[in-house]
Amino acid sequence: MRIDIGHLALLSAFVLSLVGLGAGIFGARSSRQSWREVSSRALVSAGAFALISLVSLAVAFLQHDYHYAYVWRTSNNAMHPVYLISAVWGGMDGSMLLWASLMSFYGALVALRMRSIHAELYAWVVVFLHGANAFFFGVVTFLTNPFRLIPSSVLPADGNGLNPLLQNPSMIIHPPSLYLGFTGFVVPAAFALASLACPVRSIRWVTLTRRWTLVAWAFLTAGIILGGNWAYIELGWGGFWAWDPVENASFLPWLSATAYLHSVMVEERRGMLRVWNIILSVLTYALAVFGTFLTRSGIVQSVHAFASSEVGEVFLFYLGAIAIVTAILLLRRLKDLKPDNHFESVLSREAIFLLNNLFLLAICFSVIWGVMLPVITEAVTGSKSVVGPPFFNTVTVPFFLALLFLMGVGPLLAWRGMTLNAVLKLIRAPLTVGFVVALLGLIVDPSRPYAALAFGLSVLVATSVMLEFRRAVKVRRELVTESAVMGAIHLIRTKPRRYGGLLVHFGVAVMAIAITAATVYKIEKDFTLNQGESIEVGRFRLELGSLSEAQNSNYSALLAEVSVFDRFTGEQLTTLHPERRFYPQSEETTTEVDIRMTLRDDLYLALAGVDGVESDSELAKAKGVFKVFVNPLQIWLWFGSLIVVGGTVAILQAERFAARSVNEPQAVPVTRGIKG
Amino acid sequence: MNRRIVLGIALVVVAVALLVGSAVTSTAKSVVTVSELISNGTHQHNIRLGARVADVPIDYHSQPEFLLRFAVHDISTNLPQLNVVYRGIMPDTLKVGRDVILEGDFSGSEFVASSLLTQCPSKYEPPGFDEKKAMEREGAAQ
Repeated sequence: MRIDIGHLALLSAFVLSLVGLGAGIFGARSSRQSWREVSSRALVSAGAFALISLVSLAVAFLQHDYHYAYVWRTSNNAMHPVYLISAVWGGMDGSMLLWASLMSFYGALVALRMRSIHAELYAWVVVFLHGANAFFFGVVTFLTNPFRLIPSSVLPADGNGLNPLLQNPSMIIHPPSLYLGFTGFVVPAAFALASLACPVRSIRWVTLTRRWTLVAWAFLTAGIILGGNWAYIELGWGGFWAWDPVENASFLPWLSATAYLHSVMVEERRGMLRVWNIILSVLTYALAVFGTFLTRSGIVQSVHAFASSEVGEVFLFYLGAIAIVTAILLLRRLKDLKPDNHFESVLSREAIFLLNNLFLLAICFSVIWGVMLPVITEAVTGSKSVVGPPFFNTVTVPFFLALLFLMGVGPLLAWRGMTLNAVLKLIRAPLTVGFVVALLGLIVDPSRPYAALAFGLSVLVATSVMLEFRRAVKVRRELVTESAVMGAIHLIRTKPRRYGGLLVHFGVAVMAIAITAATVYKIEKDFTLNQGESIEVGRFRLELGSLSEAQNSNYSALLAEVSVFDRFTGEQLTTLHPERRFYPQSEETTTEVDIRMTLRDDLYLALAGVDGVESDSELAKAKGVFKVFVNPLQIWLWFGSLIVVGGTVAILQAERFAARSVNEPQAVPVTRGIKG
Repeated sequence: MNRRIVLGIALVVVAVALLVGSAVTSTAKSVVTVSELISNGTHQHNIRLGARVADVPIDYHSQPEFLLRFAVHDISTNLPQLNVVYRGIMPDTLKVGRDVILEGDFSGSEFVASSLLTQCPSKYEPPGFDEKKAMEREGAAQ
């Protein structure tokens, strides 16, 4: 008889979550230590069993064990071992297992590392983590089981194979990174609900979960950017973001998580926005679940070839349950959540944070509306309508620009309030620089005022960050001798939240400049060239050298050799080799673009096919059909992203010591405003 | 102060509503099938059409400009047929019998597509994927 270790482990994880949930609720309500202990240990064990399950699935892929329908469907014998591992999450069933497993790992980590927090709070945190695990393990066990056996008694000799588009290095780390982000938000959400459920008042759950939230945020950010990078390099349409439902699904929790990271500072510092923060933390987790529902239920059509399935309704039920539990708990404890302080001035740090939250949620709401429009219009009018990138750009760009402005001035303001004159004095320098840049942009190209404004605001943010670093480094250097760079590093290490945060803002400014340049000033051209012929695009001249064919083990390729010259000097800059691959087994064609990346712009060349001949044997006489893009400052998007993620990692590193004394939350350093 | 906050929130809510409302009106596309399109009358703009490529020759030129002509019909039936014009590179996934998503305008006689997407034709988990049949097709019993 066949024993499926992976399947057994999955079942065990599910049962343990149910047992842990029951024991946890009983223990938390009755204060019986032994029941609480059972529940806490079950959380660790569920994570361990999930790990066994995940590893077994990976081993099944590596061993080409086609007894499992999922392995047969998403891999084949010819695949490289690395891609066999990534095939674990190459389809729906494995993705769901990855989701559930990663979430249970977070749960297990909480059980291993947070035991020393207040016992009542901890008991309820465990309960909510078990609740989340039980749902997801249940879905995987009963609806999307990757360990389902093939319906045939004979073992297939080879599998179906993974979509060649997914056989890309980005696809090895992009989905796990994204999922580590999504699932990580279960921790702050569980703490928020636990703070409501437990009888002890005013427990500073926001301080306890800050690092967890930041870790999840960093993974989600990295995951989204890796996805954009994959789309840019692999899909051959010259862009990195298309407002596709699947992209939006990952963007929604990012927006609310970003809002949450800012608004918790108001609670920590001023004891305000308590209810709001509870809602935001649960909302972030709910949006992560909603994103999975969106991509997996098939209710919204996507160009991503995801399966539609029956899991949709179950997810809606889960989301409804989260909303109801949160609402009941919140209403019961509302009187304990009164703010310590009130807003005193519009010109204060907390007011800027509030605006930041409003704008981020405005974007979030608009994106949800756009994604759900087909469903809404069909329900209301009976006929479906859809919106595309023009809609999303129109509704989000004004708020993104407003957020940039807040990023530029907000960190300079003091808590509680300042006079207008004091504010003007503080922001005069960055504001002037930003204004000059916007004005220059408008003079150079009056037809694109939005772009000029975006450049101006991005420069405003960058300048404000640099000036703030300069000011603080100067203060330090009056006391110690050190280089400016070392000074900046010390600042980030000693006051990570403020100076690490400013570094992240700087990265966002760099990204904003790159996104504006690469989308607004993109040059795009489709053309046909004879071999030996050339064409001018932007500042380049492209000459088609030759077209050739190559056979590979699992695909045949059409290759073009294109020389790139500077259009004005005639100097040869490089040779590009875009490719087109045909995978006979899957009847799939992929475009392998070739990109010349420089700090100034990307020259992005895709081979769309050949023309002018009937068969491939006459390739020497054929014309090449190309798509070319010139994307100004594109590379800075990736550099900016590195600064954002690197800055977040720096904050986490520097705060490590603070987190060690976590049972003494008051000891965690709080941000100091300039005047605070 | 709290009154100002409420006012601020109200302003943002109104701004979002106005932005979303106007953007929906100006950019939303109606999703239709071929038969719905034809019965809705002539000269329709901002249409998204889901259809299947009909079994008639596909006509494609790359010079003097990219010009692609083909016909589509409803996915569920073979009728009615509709001619499509697309000025752009022909995706090599475009084949007779494949499903496409077209966006553009209907002139009354033909559909002028500004965007053309072929639905993923691959065997990777299409809706209603039937493992048993797929395995028979693959000759799994080797």
